[in-house]
Amino acid sequence: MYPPSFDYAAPDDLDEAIKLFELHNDNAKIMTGGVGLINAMKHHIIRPGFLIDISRIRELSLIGDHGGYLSIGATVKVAELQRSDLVKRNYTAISEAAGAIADPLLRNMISVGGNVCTGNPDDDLPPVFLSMDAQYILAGRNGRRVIDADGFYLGHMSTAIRPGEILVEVRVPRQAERSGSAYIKRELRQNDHLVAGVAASISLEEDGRYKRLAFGLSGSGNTSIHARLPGAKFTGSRPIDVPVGDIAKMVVEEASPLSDRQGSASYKRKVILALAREALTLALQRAEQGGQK
Amino acid sequence: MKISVNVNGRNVDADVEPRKLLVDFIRDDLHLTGTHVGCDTSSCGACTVLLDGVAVKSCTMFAVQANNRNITTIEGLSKGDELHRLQSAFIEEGGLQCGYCTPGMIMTSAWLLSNNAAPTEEEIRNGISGNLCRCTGYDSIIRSIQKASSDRRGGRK
Ligand SMILES: Cc1cc2nc3c(=O)[nH]c(=O)nc-3n(C[C@H](O)[C@H](O)[C@H](O)COP(=O)(O)OP(=O)(O)OC[C@H]3O[C@@H](n4cnc5c(N)ncnc54)[C@H](O)[C@@H]3O)c2cc1C
Ligand code: FES
Ligand code: FES
Repeated sequence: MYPPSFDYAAPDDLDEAIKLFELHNDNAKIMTGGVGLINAMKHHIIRPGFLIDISRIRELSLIGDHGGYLSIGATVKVAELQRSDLVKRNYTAISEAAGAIADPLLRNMISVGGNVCTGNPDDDLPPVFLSMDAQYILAGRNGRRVIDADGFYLGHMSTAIRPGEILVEVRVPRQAERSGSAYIKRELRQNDHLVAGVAASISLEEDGRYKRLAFGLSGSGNTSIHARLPGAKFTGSRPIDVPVGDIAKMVVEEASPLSDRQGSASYKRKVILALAREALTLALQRAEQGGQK
Repeated sequence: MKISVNVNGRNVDADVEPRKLLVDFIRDDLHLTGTHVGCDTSSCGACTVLLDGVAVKSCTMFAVQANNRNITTIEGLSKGDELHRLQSAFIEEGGLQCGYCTPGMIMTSAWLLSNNAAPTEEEIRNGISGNLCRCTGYDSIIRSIQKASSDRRGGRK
């Protein structure tokens, strides 16, 4: 299977990439890992005339603690995100979601930028970023703009990225003192297409009451879903007074899974319910153990 | 487009079309046919090679993406006639039947052992989960990797 011909450039400078993208905007695509693009090009689903490979731009390849937030460069490989001690310790669900993507070899190839920008509701990182109130930094001809992950996913394979814009960084707010997170994905067999995935991200008050509760869902509808509703509702309650199952039920109400080869919509709702309970229980344990910094 | 890559320790300069897949560059242009194509859609791992020491699926990369980087294929593992300890272990433990998946399995295992010299069975099973084998049922492959990780007599590190 061969993609149609195209031109290729791999600038090592971001400004250069932005200029090239502007120049060829009508038929150029940004490439980071290439895994999504190459498969789509082999099947002639897309036929870009120009690929701008940004994987050699050094400044986009870093993971760093910037005091108020975790900074993840767009070309960071998801394998690196999975392994990072900083991420594992303080942003556990991100590490878990990165480790849930595809297989070990593809994780060496797939980048954060590709996973975040495709807009596939089944991808693993977006729900976690939603649940943690992450922001995406986009660079273009007119400078940079910051957009909440929450407003980024518009529909199936549709995002708020504008022509000529490149995602350069994901920023995740520093997790509060007593906070915990978890991401759990269910597949029928290893590396199979997912049935559904649930991210839970919570923080507790000093006296143990819920301060913040947020969920993110994959495989649960047309787009990655941020389930905030239960968070607002249970804030101020003590975890012991609210059955985890009650919260999980409200998470499921946010989902509108589709029947497909992975199962019927009603089966998927049951799976989402179970995953929401599991993810919340785990996140709560982590928060109560002093958890993430 | 002109590219310059190091393949199995040898520098290669070539002029390739941007759409040329890395696996086809390796097989058709360099005539290193140990790297296989199974699915052509990123699933089976028959095409696994090391890129700067890291295992990747070469059917899902363009050769131009490997510009100025180091590639190791199955042909680059042995030292002349002296087999790599993974290759010896696969023979001794019957880690292959038809052999189609074997080059990819061994390249993935080489990467795995380079990060973790003594993986547990579970770490091995997870580590090779991007490589499919239609013949062996995997158990003999896992034994082969275990043997290579504990037995260093047969080859170099
Ligand atoms: C066999 C297989 C299994 C998979 N399994 C999983 C899985 O389990 N979980 C999961 O989450 N995903 C999975 N994926 C999907 C994969 O994560 C996506 O295809 C992802 O886009 C690949 O990342 P990449 O870096 O290779 O992206 P690329 O192919 O480089 O790019 C993908 C898309 O994003 C755009 N893009 C990339 N970077 C940027 C940027 N910085 N700014 C603007 N646009 C950008 C590109 O233009 C393109 O449209 C799987 C894919 C395959 C082929
Ligand atoms: S041929 Fe590359 S993964 Fe199957
Ligand atoms: S030995 Fe035949 S596919 Fe693995």
